[in-house]
Amino acid sequence: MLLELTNITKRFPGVLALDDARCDLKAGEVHAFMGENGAGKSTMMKIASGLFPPDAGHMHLDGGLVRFANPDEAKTAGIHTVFQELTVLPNRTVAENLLVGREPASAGGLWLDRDALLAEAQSILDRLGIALDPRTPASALSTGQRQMVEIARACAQDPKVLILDEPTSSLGRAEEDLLFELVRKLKADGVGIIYITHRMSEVFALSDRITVLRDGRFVLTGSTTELDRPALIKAMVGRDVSENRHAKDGGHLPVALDAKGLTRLPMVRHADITLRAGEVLGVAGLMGAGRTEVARLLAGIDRPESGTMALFGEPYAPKSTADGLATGVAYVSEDRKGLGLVLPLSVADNIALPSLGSLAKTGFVSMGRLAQFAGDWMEKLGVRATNPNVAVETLSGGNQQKVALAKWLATRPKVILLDEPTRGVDVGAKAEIYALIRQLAEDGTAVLAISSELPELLQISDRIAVMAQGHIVGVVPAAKATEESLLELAFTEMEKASEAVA
Amino acid sequence: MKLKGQSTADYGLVIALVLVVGALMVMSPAFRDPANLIGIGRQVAILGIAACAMTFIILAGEIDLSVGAVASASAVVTAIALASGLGIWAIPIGILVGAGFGLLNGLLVVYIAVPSFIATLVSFFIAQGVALTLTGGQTILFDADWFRWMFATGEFLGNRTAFWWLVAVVLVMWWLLARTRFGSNIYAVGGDAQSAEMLGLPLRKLRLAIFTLAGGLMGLVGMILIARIGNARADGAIGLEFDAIAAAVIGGTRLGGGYGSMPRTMLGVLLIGVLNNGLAILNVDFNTQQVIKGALVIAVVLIDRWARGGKGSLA
Amino acid sequence: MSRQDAAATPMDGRRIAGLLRDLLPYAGLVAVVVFFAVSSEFFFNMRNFERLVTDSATLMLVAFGMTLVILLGEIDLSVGAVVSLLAVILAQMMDGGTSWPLAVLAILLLGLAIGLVNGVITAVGDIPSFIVTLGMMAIATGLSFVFTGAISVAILNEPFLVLFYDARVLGLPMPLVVVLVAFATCLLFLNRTVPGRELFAVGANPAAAKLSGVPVLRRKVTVFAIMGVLVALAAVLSAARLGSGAPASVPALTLDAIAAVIIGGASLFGGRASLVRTLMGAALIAVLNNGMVLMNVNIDLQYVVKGVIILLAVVLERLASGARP
Repeated sequence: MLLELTNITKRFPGVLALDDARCDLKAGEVHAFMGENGAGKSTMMKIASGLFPPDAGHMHLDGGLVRFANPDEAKTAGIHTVFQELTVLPNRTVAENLLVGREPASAGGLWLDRDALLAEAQSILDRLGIALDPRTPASALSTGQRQMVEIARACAQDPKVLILDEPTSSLGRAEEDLLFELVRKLKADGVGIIYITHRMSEVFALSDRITVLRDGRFVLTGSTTELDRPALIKAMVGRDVSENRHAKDGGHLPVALDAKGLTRLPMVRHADITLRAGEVLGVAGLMGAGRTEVARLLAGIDRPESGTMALFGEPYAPKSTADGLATGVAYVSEDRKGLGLVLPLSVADNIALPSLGSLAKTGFVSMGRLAQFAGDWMEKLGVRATNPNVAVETLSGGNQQKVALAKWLATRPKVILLDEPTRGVDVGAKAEIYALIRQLAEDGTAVLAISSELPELLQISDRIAVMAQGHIVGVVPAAKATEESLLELAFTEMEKASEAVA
Repeated sequence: MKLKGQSTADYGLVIALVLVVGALMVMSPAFRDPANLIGIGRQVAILGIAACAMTFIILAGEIDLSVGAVASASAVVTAIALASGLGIWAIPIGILVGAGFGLLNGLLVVYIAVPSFIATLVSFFIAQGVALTLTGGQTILFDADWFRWMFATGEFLGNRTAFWWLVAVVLVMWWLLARTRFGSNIYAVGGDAQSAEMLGLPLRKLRLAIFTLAGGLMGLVGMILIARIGNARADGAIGLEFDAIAAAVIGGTRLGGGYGSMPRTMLGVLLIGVLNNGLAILNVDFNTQQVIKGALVIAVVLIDRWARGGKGSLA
Repeated sequence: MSRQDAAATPMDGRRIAGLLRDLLPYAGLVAVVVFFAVSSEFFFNMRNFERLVTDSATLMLVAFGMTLVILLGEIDLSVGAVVSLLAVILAQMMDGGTSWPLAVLAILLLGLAIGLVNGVITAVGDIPSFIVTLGMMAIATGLSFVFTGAISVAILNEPFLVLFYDARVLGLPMPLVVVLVAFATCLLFLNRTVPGRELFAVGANPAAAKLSGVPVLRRKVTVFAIMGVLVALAAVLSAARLGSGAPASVPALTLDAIAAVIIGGASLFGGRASLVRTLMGAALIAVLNNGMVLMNVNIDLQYVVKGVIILLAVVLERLASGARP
């Protein structure tokens, strides 16, 4: 056994990311890692690559106990990772990126040998079969090409263990084939490869074994030949089907927002979506499916490259959030700390921010009305804070999320787009937020709810749209959906448009 | 080095330089005089070294507003040391004063997370204050011909020692930037600090090093300053930081970090030096020069921004 | 059952640093007043205080504007140079026969225009404000020398001088009245108007502000424009006080104004600033300047003292915000 992680537990504020999970890797094997969003795959890999230590549990490499204090130690030990967030330096060339920190030098490191740099970079690229000129500046590369450089950089360091996190997410067809070739070569050389992916086809084409995680816990490990798609989906889901008493058939409800053929490369491709007033449309999909990107198009934050939208029958083409707001469309971001809230500001100021205009009818903001306004909304949403003037960063995650919701609900939108409305929120607050969402629909608001928690979607939605690779691949009534059926749809793979050749 | 990443900005700079030199040569016989042209090299020694230091700092994504004041402070301390008869010890003392302020900047930026322009603004205050306090508003005289020969007035291979110091500094700094891992890492940090961190580059050491290095170089500048004039005043290097930034920016160094090089900065220095020299010969006053420089910097940055915007931003 | 998201209450160290940071301008002001009252017989009397107040009016006005600029997370390094330039133009206009009301109006418009230029290039051109204003500083400095040939232009217009320096309104010196009116207006703007309140969000988190519908670029330009008007006003008062328009007439103004805002506990990254505390910080600097002159202390020592105080304020602010380098 090349690499073993046992009894790994890892806690972050508000969430138990890994709960006594384990995984192992043999030399010369490709081991696929699967699970829903938030199952713990990324956390496990980050621990393996030395980014942070586990709260409990051990790691063994080549039979010996290891403990990494930082990623450098992991790299020295031979564990190399290619994360989804690329670390390609845009102002340097391909060659410089490949050998950053290890540039060939003579005179004991005192004189970088540029010819040797180019030569070594070229040999790396040749060895891996990547057709790129090492002198190309990274800024001129496509995302797919950058990903190849990132992968090449890791491969060039003679890894014992190579961890690839969603490596094909930005690659075109030709680049994908190249990657698979690479993986096979490395495997033949005895390298152990951990391959995190959502793509079933890749899993069955490349891997020898598959491990499934769910809710931070280990579910199963099996040989690829013995597992099949339904079995994997069942393993990833495996919860009791929760009943949705609320889901109604909203076919008769007026159409609030109708979008057709929305495209914004690379994440959204010909998405058709219909929101009805008084209905909750849940949106499911795996990470990278394009859900947030679609919501941003609907809200006016980004502009589509093609496609049309209509709001209550009228053409709708907002140029900014302010436009969207003015026509009654609000978007609650999934990143409440970074984009949803202004952390150092008070609860009251946060809630009032988009509505300041309406509080200043005389040209001056009425402090009394502001306080009343904030107080009312805090009460409506059950925000628990010492008083409205404390900085919102001092609140718990659940309360912060309520403030973020209050802020947008206070603008009385006709359409509200919720992106992960209960992320990082405790159980009690979750229930309150679910009730709120249902109430919004009762009141006639059109609600879009993106969520990575399938049980949540089943509980609050009337219909559920499933996205994969930028498309809406299916819309099902919530009453008839199960987690398995949703996940099955989420794993749909669309034909890849052949992108720029590597 | 010249062959990669050649951009319109580079050509523009060379063209601008050629045009300016050409115009001045036509307009003024005094400018054409070879003695004058060689003299430009000497005149830009101080600006050149300061611009080298500034280029390093800007490449790493930082800024240093204290360079003029630090040069003044070192100049004053060195002059006092010489006047007190400390002889050769004055040299390391001067360098240490400069490096000390540089280290202060580095510590503020690295350990207290102060943005570099505030941190260096603070050092500016302190250094200027030190210089003013030590001089008491007076000029400090010293008698050390050997010192003056060594740093400015000496003749050597057809030009003054000040010029040769510039050449030495430029060569060393170029080597550091283009031929050492240290230099590569500076480009990395300036280009994408987050990625650089993820890649395990030693950011803290890097930042401390560049500020301290810049400070030390300003110590050298201080010495050349007093060697040239023969005395030390607290306001000897007023405005140097702006000129250094201007030279670096005109030389294509991007303020965000990660783009720029020693040779290109030297072109910027040359352009400013030629402008200063030529305009002075044509009797255009110093202040109009300031106006021109200010407008030039803004124009260059705007053009660079526009050119980049047109090409599409980096992912 | 996983614990709730840990409420991010500041640890004791942060809280203490925060308290000290907020107290610094007040405590500092009291400290210097006491110090000079004790150390100099000329300090603690009405005549000196009056002179202090009128002399510091220029700094106050500029410091108010600087508060708004730093609140946004920007900086304006051109203020001193522009004040000098505008004073020069004012003096030359009146010297050339323009009536003072017309000249003052022209200066106010000019200041507004310069502020707009700074603002537009910074916001729309997406260039760091310190480079833009550094360039503007050079341009303004150069121009003021070019316009005057380095000689100060005397202002002989009596009504103007009297109005903006000697006159009294309700028993208070005119410069003080101007400062108070400006302070009240800025305070009103910042706390009671929509754009003013939005500034806090823009400074603290421009991306979130934009998503909340705030027109970020417009707000930035507005702030620089306001600064431009305040700078023009400061130039008028400065010209009246000095009785002339001269290049480089207010050498330490820019740095004193920035110091005042920082001593007032403003955050270096934007999103946190207080007009009241800036007022205290500016008063501290003014008293420092005044006291040192009275005591014949080497004015240059001020630089060191100011530098140290700013350092202290900066360190406290960073500790209080829990910044990890």
